[in-house]
Amino acid sequence: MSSEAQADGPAAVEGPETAAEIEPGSTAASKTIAAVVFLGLALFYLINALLLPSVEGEDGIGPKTFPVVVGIVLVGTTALGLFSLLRGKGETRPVTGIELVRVLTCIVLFALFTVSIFLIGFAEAAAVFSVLTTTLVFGVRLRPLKAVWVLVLGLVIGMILFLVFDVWLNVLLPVGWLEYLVFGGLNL
Amino acid sequence: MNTLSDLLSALGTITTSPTLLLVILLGVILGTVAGLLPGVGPSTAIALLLPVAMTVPPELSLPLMVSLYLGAEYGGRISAILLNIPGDPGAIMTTLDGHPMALKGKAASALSISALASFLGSILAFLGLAFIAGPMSEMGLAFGPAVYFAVVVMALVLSATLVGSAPMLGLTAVVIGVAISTVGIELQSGLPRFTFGTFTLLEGIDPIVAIIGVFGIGEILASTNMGMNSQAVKGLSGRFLPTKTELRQGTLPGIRGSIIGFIAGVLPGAGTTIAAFFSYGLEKRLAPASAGMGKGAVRGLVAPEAANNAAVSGSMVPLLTLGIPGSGTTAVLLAYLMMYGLNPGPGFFDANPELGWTIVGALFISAILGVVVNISASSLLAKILAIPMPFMAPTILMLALISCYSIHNSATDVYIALAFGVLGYVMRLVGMSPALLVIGLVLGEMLERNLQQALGLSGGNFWTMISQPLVLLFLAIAVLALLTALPWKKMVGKKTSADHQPANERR
Repeated sequence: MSSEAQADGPAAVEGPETAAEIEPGSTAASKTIAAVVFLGLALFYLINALLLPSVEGEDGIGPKTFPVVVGIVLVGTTALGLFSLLRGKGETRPVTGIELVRVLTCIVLFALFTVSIFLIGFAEAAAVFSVLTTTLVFGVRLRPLKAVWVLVLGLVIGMILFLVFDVWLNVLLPVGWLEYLVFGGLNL
Repeated sequence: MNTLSDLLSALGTITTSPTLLLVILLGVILGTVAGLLPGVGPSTAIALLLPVAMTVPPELSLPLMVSLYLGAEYGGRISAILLNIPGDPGAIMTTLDGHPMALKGKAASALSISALASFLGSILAFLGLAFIAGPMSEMGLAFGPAVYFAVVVMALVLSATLVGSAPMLGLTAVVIGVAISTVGIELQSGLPRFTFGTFTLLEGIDPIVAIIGVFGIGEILASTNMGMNSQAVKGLSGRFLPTKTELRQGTLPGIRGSIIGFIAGVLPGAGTTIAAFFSYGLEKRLAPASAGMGKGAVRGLVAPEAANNAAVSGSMVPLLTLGIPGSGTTAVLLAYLMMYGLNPGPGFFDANPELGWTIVGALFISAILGVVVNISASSLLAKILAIPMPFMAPTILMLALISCYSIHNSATDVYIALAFGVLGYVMRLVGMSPALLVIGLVLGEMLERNLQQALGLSGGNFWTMISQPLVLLFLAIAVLALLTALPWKKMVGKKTSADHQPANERR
């Protein structure tokens, strides 16, 4: 796929404007995101651990004690970890608004890809997913002809993966019209 | 256990089985490609092999995975030398002298020297693994649940404090992993924990799903700002085979690197990165100023490369003999072994002698095939680096989807993996190693189980449980590692130094 794109050079495929080229990144944003996620996760876990029923087992600890201890340690280490982050420890990577939009787009596309394999089949969904990921997530600007190329190659990769995993390795993947035509549907 | 005869028998089985040889060759090639592509790495590649692991017996899938692991250490050096981007974390130190060599027009020579160094490290460490695995496994049989609990605590703390950019963040990652391991039905009471009324979570979170999420999906999310030119490859230049002088310069550093790498590999959590770091540090101390360390010195290239390959075999020692992963990738392997119901640890070699020694033998064959593949196909492998991430990412995500979906033929696992991918992305933002979460996750269940058993044996008395000498020893190591990592030490140090400052300087 890539060799094809490379062969045509920059005239056919324009490189994405990387996030770093467009706006400077912010380590404060990275730290804020990490603080919200990890502290939220730790508190959520501890609160739910405290809500577990207190049933004491033969060992004297039961199903509640271990999670409660883990929860307390988690809140403690998270707080200390965030404290060390604020003191400049750790290799915090600056993040840009554009990168966050791309990450969010990637998450949404991947979720939609998962839903769509049941609607249109694995290989077909993979083809659409390839084009959308390359253009929307990585910001590669493709001319219409090149976009079709990427779509076709995405379809070919999807079909190869279908062949390897569904037909050869018996991992049952959702079948679309193309897989049905090429491999004979579920009879294989 | 007759180590030598078992080992020779396993080697005989492998060399006379075309299927096994092909599987190992495939593993080495896949591993080399995974290793040379920045952002893929052995953990991701092995995690994505789940559908293969579910359809072929462990006698084939496990040699495939260990050969992939070793192959990745061979592959990691290619992008480190040509692009100054380590393909996997173990190749970070390779960039320091490998890339300057390439810039001097000796790229081809740097690739062949580093391939030979990787081979040396693999072979020497294989010998270490073969002869230490038996005695260590027997030693592990003497461990009771209390000692095991202490060993797991030590492994978790050492991993957290040795890997990543900040020890406290490392501890957070490990504890998150342990916390996730408590999801599902608690085995002693049969009560569900953190399932929120869903049936999907009753069995707990499959470590493989979490692994695919934090490694595979998380890595792609962290690569979204990589453009078309992110992996522009430089051509191979210069003489290919190393000169006699270069071979002479590299021999002793290679041996030293192999020994350091093996020891680092055996230590829980240290893995290939620490191995390469220590061996490079030692060479830098030993080298005279004229050696030109950091400017394309052969010894600076050979030592970390021998070390990171040696660490692969080293990390198999605690995995196979104690059931404790020595690195992120062995944590993934541990998840697979548990999936097969093989329970690595003391008695593993007695219960599964053929499989155990086949895994060890596969490392030896992989080392040989690795050097052959990496020397003969250097130019071709370098060309793979030309595939830009925007075109690579969709395929990796497709594989991630298939791997998660294949576990229960359900999309729920894919969404759980996606959630872990987001977690992995946030971890990468602040320099937390996703491998630590995986280590916490796979060891968490072992930690709780051994704690429950040990407390049951000691009548619920925690102090009686930890009063055994070995328990105290392992816990003391953990506490020491923890004390050196805590931020208070530096705060007190700062305060003390501030107290000693003259008053006028403090203003």
